[in-house]
Amino acid sequence: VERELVERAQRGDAEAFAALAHAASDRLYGIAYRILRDPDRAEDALQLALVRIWDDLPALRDPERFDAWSYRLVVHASYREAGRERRWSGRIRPIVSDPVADDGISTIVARDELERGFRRLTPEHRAVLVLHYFVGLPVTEVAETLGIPAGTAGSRLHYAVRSLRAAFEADERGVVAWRTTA
Amino acid sequence: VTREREFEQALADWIEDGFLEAPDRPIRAAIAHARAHPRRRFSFVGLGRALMDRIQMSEVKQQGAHRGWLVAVGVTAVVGALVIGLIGTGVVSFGGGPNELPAVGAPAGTATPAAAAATPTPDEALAKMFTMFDAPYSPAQIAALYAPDAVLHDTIANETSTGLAEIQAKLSYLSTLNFHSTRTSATIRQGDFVAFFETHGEPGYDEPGLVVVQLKDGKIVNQWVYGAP
Repeated sequence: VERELVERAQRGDAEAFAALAHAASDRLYGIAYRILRDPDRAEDALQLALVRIWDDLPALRDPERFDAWSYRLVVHASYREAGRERRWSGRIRPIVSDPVADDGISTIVARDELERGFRRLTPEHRAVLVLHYFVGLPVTEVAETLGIPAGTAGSRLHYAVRSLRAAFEADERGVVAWRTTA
Repeated sequence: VTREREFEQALADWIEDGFLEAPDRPIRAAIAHARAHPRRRFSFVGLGRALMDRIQMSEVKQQGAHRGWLVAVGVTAVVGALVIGLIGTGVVSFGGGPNELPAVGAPAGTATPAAAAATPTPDEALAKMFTMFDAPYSPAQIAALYAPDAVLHDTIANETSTGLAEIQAKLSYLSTLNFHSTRTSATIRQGDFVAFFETHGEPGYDEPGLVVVQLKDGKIVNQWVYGAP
């Protein structure tokens, strides 16, 4: 995102904010969607984050940090959306995947197991995974973005990956057993 | 190590998969919010706080302690005059009058018998408006209540939201603040107008207000929000 656009929006230029919102929204929605696994809630989280961006932009000291700052806002908006639904885990929908990308029963089952494993994680663990694997931030930047110690980010990532891997490997054993008996 | 890499790759692929393009609605709503709100916290509450700050400051300074009371008395007078004016012009009456108002969300012309107006009961759809902040924000609910060209007049902050998109943006923003609104009086009805007193605000900052709503064809076409003493 261009620094000039951020600075103009900071000064209250609504048109600059509009351009900023269009430029940043795909990434922000992608983050919210992957944390919440629900397009409707992700929409609400995106809107909340964009509104907060407009309201709080003057408080952003370094316009170069806009991306990381906006990630933090959308993650917190996602936490909030997650907290609104008591039966949240029951509402999680599997991500719509491209059928062409599925190359067989093992992939389909593996994706399902990853989905189930992800469902069991807290929003805080999901956020670390999404920022690391989807946005591509190293752990130190994940920590900085979320405003948590690097050690905490690292341990959350470790725990989340370990949990998912356990689900993934259990699935692999299941597929092997299924193929053996088939 | 190979299996670990395979797993990490599978995880990365899985997380990458899915929607990558943001829908327009939240972007449009946020932009409408930005245009309607020149970057400040919510108006009803903000103005109320500013008023209270002014009163408290006056009290601290002691020299102008009476000024705070003058402001409060002034607000009382304005709201009182408004209510009296509405009564005088027949816009509002306190019970007993014919209840000819069509229900919100219902077709026009569904008049309720006059006998039912003795103790006015808000219709179900209008009652929902009072509790909309208690539930997750719903654009569909707002769209059901307001006409597409409705106007929300926030007289406290001197802000006007014109059209459904701006109203949705404003109410959506309030929802993000955990804003709440509680009706504190009976609903007063006359003709196409409904009025009631309420308290509203963010958690811990309840403030009294007066809301007047004009309906047309079962939907809100104008809504005025006033501060109340």
